[in-house]
Amino acid sequence: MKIVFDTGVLISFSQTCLLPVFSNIRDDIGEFVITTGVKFECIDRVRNNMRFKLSSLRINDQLNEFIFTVYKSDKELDDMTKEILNLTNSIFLINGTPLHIVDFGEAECMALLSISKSNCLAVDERTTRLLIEDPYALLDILKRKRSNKRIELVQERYDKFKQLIGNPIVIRSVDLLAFAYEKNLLKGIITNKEYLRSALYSLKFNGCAVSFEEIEEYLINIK
Amino acid sequence: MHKMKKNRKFSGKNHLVKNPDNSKQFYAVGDNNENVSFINARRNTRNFKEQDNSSFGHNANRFNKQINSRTHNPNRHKKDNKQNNNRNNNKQNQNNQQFNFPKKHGKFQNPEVIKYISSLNFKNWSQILLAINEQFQNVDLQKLHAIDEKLLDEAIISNNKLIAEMAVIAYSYRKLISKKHIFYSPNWKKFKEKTIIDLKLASELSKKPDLAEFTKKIKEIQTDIENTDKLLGHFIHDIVFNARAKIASSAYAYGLSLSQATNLLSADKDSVMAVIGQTKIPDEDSVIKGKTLKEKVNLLKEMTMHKNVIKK
Repeated sequence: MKIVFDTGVLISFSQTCLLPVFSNIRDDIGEFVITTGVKFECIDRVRNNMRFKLSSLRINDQLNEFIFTVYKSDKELDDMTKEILNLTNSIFLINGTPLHIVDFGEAECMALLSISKSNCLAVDERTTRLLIEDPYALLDILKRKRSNKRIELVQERYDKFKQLIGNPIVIRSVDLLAFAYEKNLLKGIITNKEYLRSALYSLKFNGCAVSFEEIEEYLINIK
Repeated sequence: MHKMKKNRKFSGKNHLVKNPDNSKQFYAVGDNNENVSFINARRNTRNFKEQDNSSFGHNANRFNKQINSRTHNPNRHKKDNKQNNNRNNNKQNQNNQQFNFPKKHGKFQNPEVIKYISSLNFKNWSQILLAINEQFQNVDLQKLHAIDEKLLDEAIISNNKLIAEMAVIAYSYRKLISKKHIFYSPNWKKFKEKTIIDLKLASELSKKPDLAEFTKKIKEIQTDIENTDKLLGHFIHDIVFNARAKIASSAYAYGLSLSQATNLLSADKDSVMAVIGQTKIPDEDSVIKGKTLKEKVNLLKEMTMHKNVIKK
C-alpha cells in the first residue's frame, strides 16, 4: 500500500515528538510518499524560523533515513495539479462566484494520489478530507458560516473531480497512530492505553481534525 | 441568605496533610496561628470557607453539605447545575432582549454595529481604510472587530490577499488598543499620529489603478505595528504574526483548506495548526456523520492484510 502524505500530518507528528513511529509502521504498511511542495512547506520554508526549525530538522531526518520518498515534480504532476485546482475551486459557488477553497499544497497531493495509483491520502485538515469523502457535509459547513448567501455545489464538476482521483481512503494522524497501536507496532513508544489517549489528544491539540467525542468513543473498546 | 465574612483567610491549622507513604499525617502548620501558603497541602475535606469567592457565597452551605456528605448524589448535583445554567441563560437572554441585540450567525451583535457595517461598501478600499482610521481614533473595538470579520469574508470570496492584509491591520489595531500597557504608554501618541497619517495616505493610494505603492504602504503600516508591539508589548511573537494565524484559523473554520487559509493570510502552517488545535472547530464538526476513528483503523487493517497476503 502507498500513502501520500500532506504537510499537516508530518507537522502534527513532529510537534508531538511522534515522528519515530513512522519507521515502525512503514514496513507493515508499504510506501510513504510526499511531494516536493510538501517538502518545501515543512522543511525549506520554515528553516529560518527558529520557532519551527526543530520540527523541520526532525522531518528532514526522516527523509534522510529514507522513511519518506519524495516524488519529484514533472510535467504530468504539474498538469494534473492544475486540473485538480481548476475543478476543486469551481465546485462550490457563492452567489454564482466560484469559491477558491483548495490551494496548491493539497491539490498537488491529490494529483500525486491520482498519478501514483495510490489509494490512501494522509491529511489532517478537514476541507480536503470532506471534499473527497462527503462534499455535502462541506457544503453544510459553508452554509452554516454564511447563512445570508446562496451557496451551491456543482455536481457535474464534482463527478469529474472524483473520476480523476478515484475513491481513496483519507486518513488522519490519529487514525494512523491508533492503527499502529492496535497492530502492536509501537513497542517502547506507546506502551498502554493512557499513553495512547495522551498521544491522540496531543495530536488533536496540534491541529488534527478530530473531536473529543470521537477519541473517547474509540478508546472505550481499547484494552 | 448566607454571606461570607470578608477578609477570611486560609488557616493551615485545619488542614491535615498526608505523607506520600501514608505513614503519618501532619498538620500543614505548626503551633502558631500564622496563615501559610497551601501549594502542597492536601486537604482532608473540601470546605467552601476556603474559597474567598463572593460569587459562590450564597451557595456555601449547600456546597459543603453536598461535597462532604457521604450521600452525595451526582444526579442531584446535575439537576442543580441544570437549574443554574437555565437561570444564567435566562439572564443572558434578558440582557440581550434589553439591548435588543439580534442573533446573527450564532452571535448576538449590536444593532448599531450591524447598521454601521451595512453602510460601508467593502468593494471601496479607500472608504474601508478611512473607516478603520475612524474607529481606531474612536477606540471602538466592536466596530474594528466587525470590520476585520467582514474584510476576511470579502477576502475569502474574492480570494484577494490585499483585502486579507487589510483584515490583518484592522485586527492588529484592535489588539493594540485593547492592551492597556501599550495604550497608556507615553510612546502611544506618536504611533497614533503616524497611524492616522499613514491610513489616510493608504486610502488615497488605493484609488490609483497601479496598486504597487498601495501594497508598499500596507507593508509599511504592518511593519510599524510590529515595531510598536516589539517596543511596548510583552510577547516575543508580535501582534501581526498572531493576527495572521488567528485570522487564518477563522478562514479555515469558514471552510477553506489549510493551505488556502495560510496562503491567503501569508501565515505559517505550524502556527495556524496550533491555533486550530486550541479551537472547538473539530468538535463543532462532530455532528457530521463520517467514518469514525474505529472504522478508519479497520479499513487500514483490511488494506494491510490484503497487502501481506499478496506478499506471501
